[in-house]
Amino acid sequence: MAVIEVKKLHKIYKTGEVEVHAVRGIDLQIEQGEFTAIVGPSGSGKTTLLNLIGGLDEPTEGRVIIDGTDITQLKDNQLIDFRLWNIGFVFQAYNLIPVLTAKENIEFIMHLQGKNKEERERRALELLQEVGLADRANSRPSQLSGGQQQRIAVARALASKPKFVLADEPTANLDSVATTNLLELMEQLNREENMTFVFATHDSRVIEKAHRIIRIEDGQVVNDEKVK
Amino acid sequence: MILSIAWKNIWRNKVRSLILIGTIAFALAGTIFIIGMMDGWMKDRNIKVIETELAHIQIHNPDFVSNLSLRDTISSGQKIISQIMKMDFTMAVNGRIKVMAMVSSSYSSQGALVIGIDPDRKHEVTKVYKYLSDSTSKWLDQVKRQNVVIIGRKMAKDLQMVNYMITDASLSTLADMGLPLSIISKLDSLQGKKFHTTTRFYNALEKLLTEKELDQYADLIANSCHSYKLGRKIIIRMQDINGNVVEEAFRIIGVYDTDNDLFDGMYLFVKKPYLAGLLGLSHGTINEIAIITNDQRKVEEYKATLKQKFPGLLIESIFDMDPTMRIMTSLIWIYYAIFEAFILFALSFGIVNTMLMAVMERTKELGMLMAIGMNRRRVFSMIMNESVLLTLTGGIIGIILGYLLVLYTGHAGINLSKYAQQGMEAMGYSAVIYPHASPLLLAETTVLVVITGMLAAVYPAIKALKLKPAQALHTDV
Repeated sequence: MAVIEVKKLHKIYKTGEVEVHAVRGIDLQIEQGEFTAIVGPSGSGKTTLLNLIGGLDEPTEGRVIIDGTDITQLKDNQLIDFRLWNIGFVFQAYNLIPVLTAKENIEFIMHLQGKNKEERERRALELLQEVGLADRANSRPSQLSGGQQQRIAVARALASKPKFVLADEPTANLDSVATTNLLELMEQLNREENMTFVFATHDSRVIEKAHRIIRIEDGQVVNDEKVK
Repeated sequence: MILSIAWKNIWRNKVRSLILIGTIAFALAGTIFIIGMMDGWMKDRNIKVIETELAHIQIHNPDFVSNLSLRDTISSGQKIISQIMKMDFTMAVNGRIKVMAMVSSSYSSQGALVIGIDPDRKHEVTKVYKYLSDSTSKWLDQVKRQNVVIIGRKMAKDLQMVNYMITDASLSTLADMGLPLSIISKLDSLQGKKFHTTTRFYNALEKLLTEKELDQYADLIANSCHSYKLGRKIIIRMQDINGNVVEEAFRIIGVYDTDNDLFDGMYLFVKKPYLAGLLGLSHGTINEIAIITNDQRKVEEYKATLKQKFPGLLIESIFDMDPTMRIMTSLIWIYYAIFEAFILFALSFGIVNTMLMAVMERTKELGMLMAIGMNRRRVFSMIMNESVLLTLTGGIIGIILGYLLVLYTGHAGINLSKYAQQGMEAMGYSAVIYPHASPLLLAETTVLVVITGMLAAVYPAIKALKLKPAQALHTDV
C-alpha cells in the first residue's frame, strides 16, 4: 500500500476577484522508502502540493490519503495531531525554536507526543549522533551554521518516528558543502532506515540525488519517472 | 517545557520586556504604597476608636441612648459583667458611668461627656492611658486623690489649659520639621516669654508673621512649644440621680491626644467610684458596659449571642455605633480592589501591545510549531504563560518594592502635620500616617496581577490561533 496517495487534487486560491488554480487535478502515489523530488519552476505549485500532502493546507477538491487515512476529512485539531504522529517536516528556514538548544529542539516534538524525559533524552542523543552533531547538543540555533541547523531539523523530523519526511526547499539557504552533507545524511537515512523523503525543490543538487522525480508545471504533473 | 519556553521567549527582546516589567513594577509599588498609606490610616483610626471610645460591643439600657438620663442604668450590671466575662469571645469587659456635664475653667466653659471608669488600667477596656500626651501626664491609677480628671488635648486648648513658651529646644524641633529659617529668626524675639492662653500666643505670632505665614505655620509653631497646665482645676457641673445640679472641682492630672478633635474635645475621664458618689448612685451602678472581643470580624455574631442572653438590653456593635467602621473594615477592600483593578487595566494595554508584537514577529515560528504538531491548546498556553510570567515578574518586583516602602514608612511614619494637621484631626484622623500592608493585600494584588496577565494574553493568543501554518510559514515579517 502506498504511504501517500493523492487523488484528483485541486487547490484554488482566491485573491480578491482573481482565482489562482495552483494545483489542477493531481493524482499520484508514493511508496514507503521512496526518495522523491517534486520539481518545477517557481509558482508551478510544488510547495502547494507539498503543503496539501502534509495537511498544512486544505484542498479545494480531491483527497490525500496517508497510510490509509483520508486527511482531508480530519478536523483541524485531529489534523495537527495526525501531523505530530505521522509526518516529519523540514522547512527552508525557521525550522528550530531559537530559545532551545539543539537537543531540546529534538526533544520538543517528543514532549508534544507526551514521551517521558528519559526516552526523550535517549532518542535525542541517538539522533544527534546520527546527524553527526553530538558535540553541538547544547548549542542554540544561533550558534549553529545553516547546514548544522538543517541537520538538527532532520533529526527533529525523525524524532517523532514519522511515516515520511516532507522537505520544502531544504537546501535553499545552504552552500554546496552543507548541501552535499545534508543530502548524504538524508540518503543514508533513506537507505539504512527505509525512511521516505519527499522534497519540493528546484535545486539541481537535490534533483541529482533523487530516486524519483515528479515534474510539475502549472499545477499539473507533466513528468513522473523513477531515475534510480 | 512549555513554561520554560515561555520564560525564555520573554527574554528574546530584553529591552522591550524590561521596559514593561519596570512599568508594571513601578505602578504596583506605587499602588501598594498608596493602599498601604490608606490602610495604615484606617487601621490607626480603627484601633483608636476601639481603644478609646467604642470598644467592640456596648450594652445600655434601651432608654439611655435617647435621653442620656442617669436613671436609665443597667440593672444588675455587675452580675451581667461577670456573666460576659465567662464567655469565650470576651477579652475584656467593663462597666462605666457616662454622664453629660458642663466643664469650666477660669477662661471658658463647654459641654462634655464625663466617663467614670475603673481607675486601675489593668481592669479597664478603655486604653486612653496609651495616648497620654507627654511624660508629665499621669493616669488615674497613679494618683491617690479622688477628684482628678484626664482631659483631651482639644479640650485643654478650648479651656485655655495650655501655656506656650518658645525655647531653644522648640526652635530646633521646628527647624527639624522644616520650618523656614526666616520664620525661626522671627520667632527669636519671643524666646523665653510665657503665654498663658492660646489667644495671647496667637496674637503675639500675628505681630511677627505675615498672614500667609500665619496660615501656614501658626498651628505647627503652637504645637511645638506648648505645655499643659497640669495640676490646675476645672469645674465639672452635672445633674445627680435626683435631678439636682452638683458641681465639683477636679484637678487635671493628664492630657490625652488621640488625634481626633471630636473625641479629644468632648470626653473626659474620672474615677468611677468618686463620680458615682457625686451623682448619688449606689455602689456598682453603671449605665454602660463595654466589651473587647477576640475578633473584630465576628462582632455581629457575638452581638447576636449577647442579645439572646440579655434580651431586655440594647446591645450594639462597633458597626452599629459608628457605621464608618464597617466601611473601614470590610468595604474598604472593595475600594482597594477597584483601585488596583484600574491601575492594572491601564497596564494591560501595555501588556497586550507587547504580547501582540511578540506574536506578530514570531508568525513564521508559530507556523512552524503548528506545522510540526503543536496543537492550539498548547500554543494558547505558551502565549498565556508568557504574558502571565512577564506580568508576574513585574508584579512581584513591584509588590516587593511597595512592601519595602510600606515597611520603611510604616516604621518611620509620614508626617503630614505641616500640611493638614487641623483638617485631618478635625475629621478624626491622625496627621502622622504609618502605612501598613496586610498579607491579604499582597495576596489580592498577586491574584489580580495574574488575572491581568491572563486577560491581556487573550487577544494576542487568539491572533496566534488564527494563523494557518502554510500561510504563516511563508509570511514576510
